[in-house]
This record gives sequence, structure tokens and C-alpha cells, in this order.
Amino acid sequence: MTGALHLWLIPALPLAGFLINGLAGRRLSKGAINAVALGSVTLAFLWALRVFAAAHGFTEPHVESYFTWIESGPLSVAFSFYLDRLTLVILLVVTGVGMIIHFYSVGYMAHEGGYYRFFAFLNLFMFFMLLLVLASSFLLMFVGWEGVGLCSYLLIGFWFRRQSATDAGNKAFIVNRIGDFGFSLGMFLIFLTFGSFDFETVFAKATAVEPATLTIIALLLFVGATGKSAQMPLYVWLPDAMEGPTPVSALIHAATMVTAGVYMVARAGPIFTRSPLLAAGSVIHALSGQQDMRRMGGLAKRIPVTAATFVIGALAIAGVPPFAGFFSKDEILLHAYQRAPVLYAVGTLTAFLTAFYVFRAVFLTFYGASRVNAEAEHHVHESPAVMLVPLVILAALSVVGGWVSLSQWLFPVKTEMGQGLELTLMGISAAAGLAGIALAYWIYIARPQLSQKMAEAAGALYRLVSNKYYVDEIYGAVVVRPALAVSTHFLWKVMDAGVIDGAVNQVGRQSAGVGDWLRRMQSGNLRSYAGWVVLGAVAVVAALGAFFSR
Amino acid sequence: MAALLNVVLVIPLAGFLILLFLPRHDHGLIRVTALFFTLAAFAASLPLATAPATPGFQLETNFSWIDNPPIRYHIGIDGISLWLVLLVTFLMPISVLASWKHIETRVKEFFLFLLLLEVGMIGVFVALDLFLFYVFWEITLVPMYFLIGVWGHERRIYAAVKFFLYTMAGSVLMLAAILWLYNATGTFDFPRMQTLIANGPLTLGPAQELLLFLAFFIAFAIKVPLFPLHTWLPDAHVEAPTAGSILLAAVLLKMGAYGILRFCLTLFPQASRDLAPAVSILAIIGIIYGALVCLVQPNMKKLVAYSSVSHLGFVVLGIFSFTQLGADGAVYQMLNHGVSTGALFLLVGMMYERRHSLEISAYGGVATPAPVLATVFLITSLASAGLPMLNGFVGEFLVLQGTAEADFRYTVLAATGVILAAWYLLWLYQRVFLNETPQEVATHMSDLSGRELATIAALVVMMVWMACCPKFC
Repeated sequence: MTGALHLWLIPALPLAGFLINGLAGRRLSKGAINAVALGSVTLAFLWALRVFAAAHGFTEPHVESYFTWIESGPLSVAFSFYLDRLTLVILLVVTGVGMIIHFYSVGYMAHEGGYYRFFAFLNLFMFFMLLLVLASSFLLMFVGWEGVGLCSYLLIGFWFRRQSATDAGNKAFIVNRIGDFGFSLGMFLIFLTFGSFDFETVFAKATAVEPATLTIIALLLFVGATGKSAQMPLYVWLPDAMEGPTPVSALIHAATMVTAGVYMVARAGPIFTRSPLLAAGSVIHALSGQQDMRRMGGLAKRIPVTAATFVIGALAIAGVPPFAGFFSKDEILLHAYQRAPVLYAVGTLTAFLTAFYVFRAVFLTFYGASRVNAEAEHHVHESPAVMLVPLVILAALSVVGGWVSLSQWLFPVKTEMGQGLELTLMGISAAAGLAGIALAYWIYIARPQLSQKMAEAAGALYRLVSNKYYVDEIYGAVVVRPALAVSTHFLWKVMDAGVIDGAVNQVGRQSAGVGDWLRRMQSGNLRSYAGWVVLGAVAVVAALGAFFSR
Repeated sequence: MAALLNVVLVIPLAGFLILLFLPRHDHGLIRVTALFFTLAAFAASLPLATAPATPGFQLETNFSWIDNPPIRYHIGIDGISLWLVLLVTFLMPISVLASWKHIETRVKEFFLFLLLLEVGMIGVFVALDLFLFYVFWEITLVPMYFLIGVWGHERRIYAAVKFFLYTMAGSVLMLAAILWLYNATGTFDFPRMQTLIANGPLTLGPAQELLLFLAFFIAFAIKVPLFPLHTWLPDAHVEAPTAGSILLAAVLLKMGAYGILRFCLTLFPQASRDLAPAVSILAIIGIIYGALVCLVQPNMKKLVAYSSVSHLGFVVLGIFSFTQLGADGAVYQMLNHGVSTGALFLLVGMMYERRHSLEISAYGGVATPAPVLATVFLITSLASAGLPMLNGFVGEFLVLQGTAEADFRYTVLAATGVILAAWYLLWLYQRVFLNETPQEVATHMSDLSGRELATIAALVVMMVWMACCPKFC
């Protein structure tokens, strides 16, 4: 550790922004709100840059502890931040992209109500995201993890007067929670296995733990990543997430939520590398493309700059060289190949499908016939500079990003693999991406009638897929409605009100009945009392007689 | 310093006595007097938090109350009861403020019962003589019976009688067990009895220990409440006035969990361990069952009431994990539940004062006319759902981690309760606060007044503070 870098400032700044705008925003002018919201993230980004400048030469991870958060028996969790090269890069990405999104939102939200509220949520999102990235332990990471889920809920349900938006928000939170259920179980096992939540302690001991345990932990953590990155079977919340202020929540989810999932997998690397789940990362990465399609869908040709930047983003996601996605995907696939060739095959196939899907979106959105509804049509216009500049920057980054030899710097360990094999794999990976694009082009542009025919031919299968596999309906029919029905008609009305409370009331009634019967002894009638006395005396004498005659 | 604990106990009693002599029609004076004494008790209790964290009882007072049988006024606190006493004194001014406008009939009697209840609740947590404990335990019963029965809603008489008889059925068993122990040991003094049992000469046979354990445990389990002894709770909560619901959920349920922790585990350790699997399973059933029943409640107060069944399941589970983490988590969860569920009842009460309905279907889109109310309700719901950075998380996390040590299967099952909590709370929130605002709601639902905001703000600050700085003794 080389001096204090005051890492806490980076999340604290957007947190302060959230508190100011959240508590007082209603009484502030737009200018003031902007100053607070944009100012705080810009400062956070600048501080992250400063940290980068100061720390990029560090060879050892840098840890800053602030206070003991939870302490109980053998458990002690410090509120502390952990910085290594991976953190450093993600830190810059999150603060940088986050800052750009903030600026972009100024234009996008200019005419919307709840301006202060939106920026407060955005700042809060940044805070939790940064907590997630900087956390030095699984537990603290979980705090950021759940917090990010909360912010999706708030942003997706932003237009809270609309039923569809609030439904979508609830769905996002609850499905995220199902993922977090997995994450938390993984976390409990980590503490049982390692006696600590700290990354450093866990990673140091990871080699000494049997692979079976690690695999279970990795699987559980992966469920968490699945929920957050909106993968099968927990992706149901994502298509509806369109309900939020569209491009902003889209960008924020694509740029950061998915990053959260991938980051977690990368962070927990030592656990994953010793189990065959490394390739999980490639699945997450590859599928992230699907999200953009649904969000950006509906933007028409009138927005050339947006279209261009989107195409560049799509190319990056499709993993076409030389865009950024190619390098990261290639790196992941390479590792997968080393560990488990089967997963490599799955990964490559996924890459192919991703490219296909993303370009299906590109062709349908920007080149196909307009399928925009009237209300949205009215909103479609080329965005103001405050929105375009960020988009262009993001696109530029996805072009340039690949050339910075990130992975070499991140994982300085040399791969023990022939140069030739690596090149071959790179070729296959690029080819898979290009083939996907070509297929999309062929189906949706060259033969527009083909997709229609396919739909007719494939019939049921196509309908299944185009209805999101009916997953929403299946969840509704298999989980939600039965849970509600059983709770209402059995647990509550039969079990609680009928059986348990029925028994309680019965005891009450019986006691009252017995009391009523016994009451007859106190009739106030002297002769009946005399009768009882005689009866009692006879009973006592009889009992004594029986006792002594034995 | 030792006198301090007596002062905390005497202040509400003094308030009770002074209130007796106030003119019954001067409602303002009565309210202010009640607020003054509850605030004074809170102020007096604050220095308790600085008591050094040493094991064993502190700030003890011990003198003879009745010579024969030897019943002593023996009080003291340790790391568990200290926080529960603070919870009581913290929530009392809030309960008084919650009743400020809500209570318009028999105002004097209401605040008299409230202060008497405070004496009983503090007494339960500080008593170290079993007989004294029993007296305080019963004292809490009477004011709460009247609070529900006199100032409650439509079915108040049924609910009050049910509450009284249910609890009484358990207390009687406990009293029998206390008398049995007195006959065997010749003392009611708890620390002394503990030594006699732990180090001899009193040795309990397995059957004896089991029966004594059950006698205490059933009394406490009814109070907690542990499934299937919980059905008094929804009725009592729904019918009680706001202050009654707050104190019932926040404090009276904790008396049960506290009793288990203080008496069952220490006096009958073997029986506790033997029955731990059975109790844990009942706790888990309570967690899931309570949450599922929450989902389908059409009545807001009933929903919050059933959520207590679910949340207190975590407390019992933590206690019976027999781990340090589980026990710490259980105590912390007790405090957290007191704050967040107390706040939920407070908010529901505020809404009832405006709309005069507890039915979820009578609301909708409340966030538009009452944004501040909507915001604090969301924060409180999230705290109750165990979101990190709010208080509920720390307790639930520790309980689940502790349970994982005992039996990982329990953790897996209990953790589903956390998912369900998000589901029923957010769904409630959506139906009450979000979407279109019907005209009816728009006209009735004004936003929070200054008094209301101050009351709830104190609780929200606690939610954040307890999440960031959990300290254990």
C-alpha cells in the first residue's frame, strides 16, 4: 500500500449528489440539479483518473479500510475498498460511461417531469455500482449488487403512474432478488469454507479447497450474475425494462448492469478458474447483445448519427475485429478452450447467435419498414448535441478500446499457448461473428420475405421464440398464480382461519360450554346446594372406602 | 450509574401517577405530559448505551421485596436487554406522537395505559427475579388488552379477548414452571437459579427438563409468535389503534424472543438443543408461511402483521442455530424489526387517519398527492425487505450465516423468505402508491404534516444508522 488514495471519495460524491437532489431537489432549479448531479459524477470520474494515474504502476493490490462494519464472533467485515488492475479499469469505465450517461440524460429528460428524481436515482445508481466495483469483500460487493437492483427498480418504474412501468419495475427487482438469493447462498458457503469474505483471504486459500466445493460456490454466484445480467432463465425482467426512460436506462443497463455480472465473475476469478465455469463469462458477454436490440428498437432512419453509433456498438458486440468486443470475447473464448473445449464450442456458437441477433436488430431498426407506434413516432428526431456527443464517444471507445492491449495488462500472466493456435482461435471467433451478421443480412435485407416464410414454415417453433418462449406466461402459470392461489385458498383461509384459528375458537367455545354447565351448580338455591353437599360427601366416603379396602 | 436503571423504570411510573391527577378534559395538557415523560425516560436511558461491554449483568439493584417467599426486586441489564430497553424508550415518544390526533375519546385513560405499558415493558427486560419478571410480564397484558378493546376498530372486543386468553394460556404454564423451580431451589432469583442448575445441586432429569422447557417455551412462543401459535396476532394488530400496533409488533413480540434467549436457553440448555431441529423447522415454516399469507392479504395492517410472523421466524431460527452469529443476528433482527415494522404500522396509521380504510383496494396512486409519504413508505418497506444499507439486512444476514453453520438446508429454505418479502412489500407498494390516482384517493390523501414527518424521520434515521454501524456486545 502506497499512501492513501482516498478511494471513498469516488462513491461518496454521487452519494452526496443523491442526497442533495433527493432531499432538496424539488425546490432546486434545473441548473442547480444539473450542477449537483453532473458535478458529482464528473468529480468522481476525475478522482478516478487521478487514482488511475497514481496507481497504475502498482503491482500489489491496494486496500483502504475505513471502519469495521459488522463484527460478531468469528466474523468481522471491514468497510474497505480493494484496488487492483481489474478494479482500476472497471472504475474508469463505470465513472466514465456513467458521466457520459448523465450528460446525455440532460437532453433526454429536458422535458420530463420528476427531473430531480431521475438524477437522484442516476446518482444513486452510480454510488451502488462504484461500491460494487470497489468492494474488498463479497459481502460489501453484495451491498452494491442489491443496490444496483434497487436502482433498476426505481429507474424502470420511473413513470410510476403507468401500470406497465410499475409492473416492469417490480418484476426487475423480484427477479434480481432471485438471482441475489443464489449470490447470498454462495456467499454463506464462502464464509463457511474460507472463514472470511475478503477477496484477498478467499483467493489466497482458493487453491487449498476441494474443487467440488468451489464448483458449488461458483454455480451459486453464477445464479447471481444470471439475475443481474438478465440471462436465462432470469432474463424476464429485461424486455420490460423498456418501460424506463428508454435510452438512458438502456445504456445504464447495457453498460453497467451487465458489467456488474461480468465483473463479479472476473473478480471471483480464482474460484471460477478452478471450476469449469469460466466459460460462463463468455455466455454473459455474448448474450449482452440481446438487450440493446429490444431497447433501441423503434428508432427510425431519421437519426443517422445515432444509427451509426449503434452500428458501431453492434459490431463491437458481434465481436468483429477490430472493435473492442472482439478482443474481450476472444480472450474469454481462449480461456474456455484451455479449460473445456465443449464450453468453447458453446461459446463460439453463442457468439455466432449474438452477432445474428444484434444485426437482426440493426437491420430491422434502421433499414426495415417503420414499426414505430404513433406516440413514439412523434418523439423520433435526431438527438441534441448533448446526447450525440456521448454516443459518439462511446462508439469511439468501442473502436479504440480493442487496440489498447487491455487483457495483456490486466492478466500479465502469459498464456502457455502456441501463437498459431491462438491465431486460429481468433480467426474462428471472428468468422463466427461475421457469419452471424451475414445470416442476419441474408434473412432480413436480401430476402425480406424469407423471415415471413420461415415463420409460416416453422409455425409453432417460431411463435414460441417470438413470444419470448412464453416464459412470462409459464412463470405466471407455474409459479405466480399457484403461489397466490395456494396462499389464499389453503394457507390463509383453510390453514390459518380454518384449522388453527378454528381450533382456538373451539377451545374457547368448549371452555365456555363447560363453564356454562358448571354454572348450574351455583344456582343460588339452598336445597340444590344441600343436594350437592350430600352428593359430594357420598363421593368422598366412597373414594376413601375404595382406597382403604385395597 | 446503577441508580440509572431504576430511574428509567420510575419515570414512566411517575408519569402514570401524575397523569392520574390531571383534569380529564384538558387533552392538550395530557398529551404534552405523556410526551414529556416518555421523552424523559428516553433521555435517561441513553447513557445506558455507554455501559462497558463486559459479560454478565450490570447496573444491578437487588433488595428484598417480600421476605417469605423470598421475592426480590432484582434488576439489571446485559448486552441483550440493554438494547431492548432502549428500543422501548425510543419508541414510546413515537407512539405518543402517533396517538396525538388519532385518539380523541377517553384521552386520559389512553395515555395512562400507554405509560403503564412502558413500565411493564421495561420491567420485563430488566427483571432478574423470576417472580418479578412474571409480574411485569402480566402488567404488559392489561394495558394492551384495554388499548385494543377500547380504542380499537370494529372487531376490537374479539381481538382483545383473544389476545388476552392466548397469552394467558401460555403465562399460566410459565407460572407453574416458575413455582416448580422455586420449590426445587428455594429461590426466584434468576442468576442464582442459573448457578444452581448449571453447577448443581439441582439436577434436572431429561423428562423434567423437557417439561420445564416446554412450559416456558410455549409461553414465549405464543408471544413471538411461532407458527402455529400465531393466530392471535393478525386480529390484535388489525384491531389495535396505531400506538398499540407499533408497541405490539416492536416490543411485545420481542418479549417472547427475549424470554427464550434469557430463560429457556440458559436454564434448560440440553432440552433447548434437543428440540432445536423441531423449533428451527417451525421457524422456517413461519418464515415462508407468513410471507405467503402476506402476499394475498387485502388488508394493509394484516399484511404487515403477517410479515411479523415471517420476520420473527428469522429471530427464532437465529437463536436455535446455537451460533454466535445466529444469536447476534437474532438480537439485531429483533431491534430492526422493532424499528421498521413499527414504522410500517405508524405509516399505515397515518394513512388510515386520512382515508379511513385499511383495505389495499381503497388506495392507489398515493405517490402523486403525497410524495413524501410515498418516499418514506418505500424506504421503510425496503428496510423491512432486508435491503443492504438499511437495517433489516444486517440481522437477516447474520441469522442466515449463523444458520448455515448449523445446517445449510435451513439457510436455503429460510432465504426464500427474503425473496418473498420483496415480492409482497413491493406489490403492496405498487397497489397503494403507484399507478393512476383515483379521485377519491386524490381528495383524501394529503401529504405528511410536520409532526408526522418528524415522527417518521426519527425512525428512518435509525434505519440507516443501524445499517451502517451495527455494534455488538
